[in-house]
Amino acid sequence: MKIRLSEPAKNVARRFFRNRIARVALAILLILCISAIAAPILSPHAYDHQNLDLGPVPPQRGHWLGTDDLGRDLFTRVLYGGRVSLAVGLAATMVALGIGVTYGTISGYVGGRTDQMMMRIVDALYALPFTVFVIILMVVFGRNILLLFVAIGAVEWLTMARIVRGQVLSLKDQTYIRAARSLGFSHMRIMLRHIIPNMLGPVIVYTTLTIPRVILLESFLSFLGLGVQPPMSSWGLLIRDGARAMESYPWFLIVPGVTLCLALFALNCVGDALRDAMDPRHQLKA
Amino acid sequence: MNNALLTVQSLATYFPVKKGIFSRATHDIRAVDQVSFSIEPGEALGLVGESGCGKSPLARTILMLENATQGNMFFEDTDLLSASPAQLRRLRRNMQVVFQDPFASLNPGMTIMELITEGLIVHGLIQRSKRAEVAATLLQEVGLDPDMGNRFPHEFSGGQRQRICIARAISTRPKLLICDEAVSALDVSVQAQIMNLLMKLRQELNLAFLFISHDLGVVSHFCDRIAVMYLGKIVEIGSAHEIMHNPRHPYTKALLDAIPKVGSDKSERLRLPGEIPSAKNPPPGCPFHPRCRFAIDSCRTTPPTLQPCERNTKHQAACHRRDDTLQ
Repeated sequence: MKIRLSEPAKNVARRFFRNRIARVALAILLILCISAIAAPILSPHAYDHQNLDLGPVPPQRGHWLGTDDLGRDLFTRVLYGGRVSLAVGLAATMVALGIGVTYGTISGYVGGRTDQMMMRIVDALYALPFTVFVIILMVVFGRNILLLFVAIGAVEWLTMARIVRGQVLSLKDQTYIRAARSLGFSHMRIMLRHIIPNMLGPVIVYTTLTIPRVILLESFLSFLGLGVQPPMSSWGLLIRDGARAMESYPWFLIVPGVTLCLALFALNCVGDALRDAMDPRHQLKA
Repeated sequence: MNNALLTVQSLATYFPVKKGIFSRATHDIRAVDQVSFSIEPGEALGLVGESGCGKSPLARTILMLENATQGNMFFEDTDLLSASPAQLRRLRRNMQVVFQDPFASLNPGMTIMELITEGLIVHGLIQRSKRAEVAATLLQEVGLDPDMGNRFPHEFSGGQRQRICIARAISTRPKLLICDEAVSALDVSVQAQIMNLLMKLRQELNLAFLFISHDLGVVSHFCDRIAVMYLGKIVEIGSAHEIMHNPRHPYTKALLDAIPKVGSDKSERLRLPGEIPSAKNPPPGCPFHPRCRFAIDSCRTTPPTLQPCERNTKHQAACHRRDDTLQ
């Protein structure tokens, strides 16, 4: 007898890679990540090197994605901007995912008064204005990029917790959860093995929707002067600057815009494929 | 202590009905009300009654999935209601359940092998490395292909899934198997196969059963004793033969008359007028009296208790007129 299911992760991976769109999307994401990490090697220019004599030029030899109005190489800036955007996107989403899933699962599973209390706390935090919250954080702890991750994650987990709690509420009355309880499994085991795996679908979809929102949120904070500071940049900042000069220098907007779209599109495809791969019922349709 | 496997004494499970923004419990739904019975090792007790009479809440209370409001439950000599969580967890392997809906009872994300051996591993009864082997044996025991361990529940039909549920239930070698309408969701030919499987397992493993069904035919065929439930209470209990051939409670008679028979005259049937009353607001006296053709004054005021019929202590009915000849 062939054992393939003692390692469920292996199975998910197999189903994932059978999907061609997933393979392409994952490749795009990997290329974006690696080039962001390897930015100093890939680019002959420094991200903050200005060439005021050159000014804004369209794509040409030497600056093959053009330059911005200070003569800085756009390709280099997109690579460096990707470092910030991807890091914020992934880290803040992971923070949101970790807190949200844990909080929501416990709240929904325990139920009753505990659930009521935990959800009222979420409601209260929802009511807190996000910008004020971030400004307070920055004032108290000083400005640094790690804090940015925490601040965004601390806001994004609220919706995640609500989604997870809703899922848990509908799952915990399923007959197979009753069967698991009558087999004498611990609550921890029931949550980890029987509830969380069965609600991953919506959670993954929501996660892939969170990453783009977090990336845009970062650009908003940077715009307020609370996030990344020039001459460092991020995709969100580049797009904002580009949008201002859209009519005279369209490549300002097109270059980071296309990169961001590509990243978000790839993320959505990967999320979609991952959800399908985790649901064994999709095996038949493959 | 007697040697019964499961003893239930005046067990009651009430569900509070909440109203208003402050969730104050206004009154209770008496899903299970003062139920007492016992099951001997290896014995099959059938539990019948129409929908909504509290069969499933009783099963869930015995399985400790629902909190009992009052009463006592003993499994062998252990008091279930005062057992510590750890004690209870160990005890659960002796008391297993097969539910009605085979499509909802299996975790869709786990393979058959994982499903049916998880209990064994959690209770430390087998090594993880022996998993595949044990799963194959279990599958064979319930009449499935032993090579199916790597498949997922959605790949199976209802009858096959019910076999998987049975395999999971018997994996820990329980002493008592509670079947909560275990064959009701299956079509008739599959029902017969599953019943045969349960009978085979009953002999091989010396299993005791609490067999819940609304189908008296299936129950009388399978069980040694039958208990009839109405509105959360047991109204008649006795050997399967007594209940089928000499029912003393008018409700039992009505249930038996509802079984269609070839060549019977419809006008002779005892029909039940009206609906089952709400458990929120049970009628005073005998809960059955509003629908009972034979009700007398005392039925409307004094609730009857289970009393021996014709001096036979093994056949009890909760009816004031249990020993009268009623036609």
